[in-house]
Amino acid sequence: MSVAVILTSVFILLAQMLIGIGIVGYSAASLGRLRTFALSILTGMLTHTVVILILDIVGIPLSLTTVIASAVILAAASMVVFTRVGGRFRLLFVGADFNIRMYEVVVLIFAAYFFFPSFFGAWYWPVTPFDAMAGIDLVARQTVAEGTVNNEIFRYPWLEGRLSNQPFYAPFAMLMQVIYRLAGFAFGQVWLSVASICMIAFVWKTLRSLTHPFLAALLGLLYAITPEQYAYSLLLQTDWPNAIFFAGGGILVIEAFRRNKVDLLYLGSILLGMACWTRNETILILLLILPFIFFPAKRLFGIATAFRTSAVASSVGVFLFALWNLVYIKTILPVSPSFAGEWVGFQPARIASMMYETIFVVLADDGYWAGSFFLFASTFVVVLVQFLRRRTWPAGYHETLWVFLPLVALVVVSSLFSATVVEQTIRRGLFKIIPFMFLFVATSDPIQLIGTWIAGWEKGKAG
Amino acid sequence: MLFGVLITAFPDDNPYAHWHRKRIRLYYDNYARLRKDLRLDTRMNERHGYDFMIPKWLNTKMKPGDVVVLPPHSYAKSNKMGAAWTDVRIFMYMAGLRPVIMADDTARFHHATHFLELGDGGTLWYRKIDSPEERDSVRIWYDELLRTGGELQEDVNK
Repeated sequence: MSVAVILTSVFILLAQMLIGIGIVGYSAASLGRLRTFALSILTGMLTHTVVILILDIVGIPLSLTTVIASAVILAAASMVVFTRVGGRFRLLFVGADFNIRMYEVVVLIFAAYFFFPSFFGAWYWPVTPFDAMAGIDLVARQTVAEGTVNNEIFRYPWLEGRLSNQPFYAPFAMLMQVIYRLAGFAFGQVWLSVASICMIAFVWKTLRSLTHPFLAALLGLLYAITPEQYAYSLLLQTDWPNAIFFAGGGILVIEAFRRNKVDLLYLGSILLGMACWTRNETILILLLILPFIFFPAKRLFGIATAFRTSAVASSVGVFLFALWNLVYIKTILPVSPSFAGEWVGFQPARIASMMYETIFVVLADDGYWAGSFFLFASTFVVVLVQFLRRRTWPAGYHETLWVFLPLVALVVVSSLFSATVVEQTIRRGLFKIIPFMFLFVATSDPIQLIGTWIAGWEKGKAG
Repeated sequence: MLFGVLITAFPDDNPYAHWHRKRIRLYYDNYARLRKDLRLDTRMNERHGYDFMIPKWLNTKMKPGDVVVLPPHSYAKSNKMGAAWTDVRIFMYMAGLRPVIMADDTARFHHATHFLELGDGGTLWYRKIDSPEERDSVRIWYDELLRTGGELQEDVNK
């Protein structure tokens, strides 16, 4: 890997972060520094890919120049927005202290030890998953060669009728591959590790706002090393990027309700909408969960805000879904996938059996999740027993709801398609609920009590 | 220390220990070796094996006008020669856009000018189809392999 490749990719990443700041900056004061930067990178990456597809639609050839120029122009445009939110953004640095504890440094060292192989693997190894080689990266490589997504893959006579649905997956991962391959990475992919680090930092800081920093560090690291999820920080698939945007949005929505912060509700709604750019079926999941955002928002912020935030989530989602599926696939590509044959409709028995398999076969498999699910399940049992005794729910209400909400929505939506395989499709879809499990654990009474005890012990020591 | 224990205790029953061994320590143990050879072909070879090697080899054999019918998935698998490359999408991912067709592609089979025969120990032959009769016999052979899941070739080899 040459210095030029590193410099190019760092430049693109910084430009993407600046793009994201225009979107996230309004909420910067509520988010804090680390979460602002992490979300800026993620939203910047996604916005950049949307603009790249729009450039392709209007006929501008995709090349490294196009990628860099679009990033720079978008970053400049973002700074225009930024001048309005700059005041809020500056608050992050005025009188800011670097508040990190010694045990967190230890955990960060562990995190670095665990994530170096992720970076190295993403850079060193070629793309491995079958779906990616038959779809996302097959299209991405040809896009790099021809300068357009509407390339020979879709019209090569020997591939006609053989493409299946992989090349038509929502385009975020494919376009990120295009960007990183154009930047000079032989196999693209490195962006996956960057996005993973951003998500883990985001979840860790959220946990830190919920419980004692020591427990937050432990929970954050346990989240980061959830085996199946970790694997996809270097394996190219659409599920992990989808989980990043969906769970990121959900976490912000929960926080908006908990802290009464309407700016976080808007940002969360944007992220939930953005998740539709990472996997197509998310639009259906989003529609299913929207009432659970609308009604709490109505109660807390009034009906106008509830309508506006729901409109933001659905319009961002519908726009991105339509841009790829209705504009690009239907009007530009010469072929389109047929989902009609896959549609099996609403079947309660199928949903029940898939739910059973999801919980008792996939989630219960500690080879996939190690202690993550068992930590949640055991905490949930304790919380349930406490609830039966006290009649008040001894954990975060929304944190609990959002574990089950995406799970039910995921299984219901997946059951509508015949191609769904629980042990594959839903297994990777579960990445969406893992962060909520940790949020639930962090807000539960047992963990709160341990946190209080540690804080008391620290005070005693300090005294 | 807590995490040190978490990733090392009960190595046979502890999923974190298993994960650490397979996903983390393996990288650190092999890091120096991997860093020594950064050629893309080496990396592709190491990760994809036959799924990369065979399309690449075939690419050197194919001449303009050649249309190759790829063997059935199960046939390649039973000969321990990868399997993913028998899918045209993966073949083209590895070798670029080439006129290849899958064994079950009845609509295009009549275009085939060449086929592949696999042998033990990673040997394979790039065979020319000389006549429509020969194409029919290849088709019958591949159909039989598709039907029996690659068992026929094992019998033939015995």
